[in-house]
Amino acid sequence: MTGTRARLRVEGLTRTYGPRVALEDVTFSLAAGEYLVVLGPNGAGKTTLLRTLARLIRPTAGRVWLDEEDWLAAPADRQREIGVLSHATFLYDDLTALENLRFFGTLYGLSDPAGRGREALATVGLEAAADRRVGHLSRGQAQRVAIARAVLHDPGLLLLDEPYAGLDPRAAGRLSEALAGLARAGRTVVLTTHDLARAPVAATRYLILVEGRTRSAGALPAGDLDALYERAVAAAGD
Amino acid sequence: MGWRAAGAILAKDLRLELRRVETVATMVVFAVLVALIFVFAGDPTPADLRRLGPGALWVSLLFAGAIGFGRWFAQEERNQALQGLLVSPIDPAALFAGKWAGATVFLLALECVLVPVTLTLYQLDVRGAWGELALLLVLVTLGYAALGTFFAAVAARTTAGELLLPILLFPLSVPLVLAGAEGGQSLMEAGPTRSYWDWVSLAAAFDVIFGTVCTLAFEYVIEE
Repeated sequence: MTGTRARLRVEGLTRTYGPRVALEDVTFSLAAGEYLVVLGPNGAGKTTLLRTLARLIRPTAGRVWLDEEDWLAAPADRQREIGVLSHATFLYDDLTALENLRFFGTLYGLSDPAGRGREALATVGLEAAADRRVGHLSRGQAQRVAIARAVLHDPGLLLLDEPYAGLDPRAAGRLSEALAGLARAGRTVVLTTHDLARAPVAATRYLILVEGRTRSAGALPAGDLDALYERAVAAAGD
Repeated sequence: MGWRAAGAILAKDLRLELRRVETVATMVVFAVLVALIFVFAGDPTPADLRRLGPGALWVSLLFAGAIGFGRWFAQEERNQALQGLLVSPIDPAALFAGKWAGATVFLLALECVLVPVTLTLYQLDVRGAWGELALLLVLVTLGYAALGTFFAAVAARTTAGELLLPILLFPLSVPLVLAGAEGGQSLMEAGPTRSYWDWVSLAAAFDVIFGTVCTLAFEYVIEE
């Protein structure tokens, strides 16, 4: 499925940490090529949702299907079907941008990891930084290398967890451009953010989480997302 | 298991260490200092030194290794790089194998300095059995690197990791230290006798048992 669009179906996803409920009965589905923005205040369960979809944590209950396959039971090598981007870059500061991408490309079993790494760097406009150590790049540049890492293996589903965190407005703008390019390429995308201003224009669906529960969900553009968000958060506080 | 992935992790760890050098360099200095302290403590006679030597070698290695394991795993925590590995299609056993191989190479590099220094300081005579000494060193190092890599991962997931690592690591390393010290003593007193081979067998059995257990259990250590 790598390189093609992915269909995602989530049903009753729940995650608890002892008595604390981080995610409760979250259900949604995405058609291939759709772009879901998950909104919610800090502690709403957005990161737990993304980490569960990335199979970094196991849910307490619920099922996930990726292209009609039980995703949570799929073997480890199916991880090549997803790309994950977080506010942390997942990169090694003392390796160059290209060395990082070559390393991850090898883990993904690419036949020419160095060549693919250069292509991915070109996609995010960082060819010139290929031989610079990641620790010497600006925060925004490092995050763009992280995008290159996330799409290196051409995944069908992209999971983006607060990718704008810690970026200045200029770097955030460049990141938006890069992410919009990925969406135009037709990948299925799930992006979380607590910042409404960062809700991408390219998003086709939204999901608002508050205290682990779905407060509102639907298609975009369908009304004012700001108003939907305020209403959902206010309703949760009542 | 993905040998290509394990090889990539080993190559990455070697590249990172060669680029910074600081961890292995610090371990070498620390290990030599520990070996020296034994020489100066208690004004030992040459006979005392020969008796203490093999034990001092392994105690130095044990302490220096504990410094290194924590540092080598800490690099996976910076920028949450470990998460990048966990979201990739890599078998946790391959991840462990790569990290284990890296730790073994670093410890053997340390021994390249520490062993000649200890042999000289403690006036030890290997009686020409260099191959047997190398075999003992490699077997004990393999086992210690397996334990160290495993517990460094455990410690990295806790708040008091640096304090926890030696507490977890040292008690389980006792059979290895015994094998190294007693096997080395036998070798230097009488050459590769039955006693030496018994200790070598102990170290080999330890490697097989703990290498297997750590490889299989690693997936549960690194998951959240």
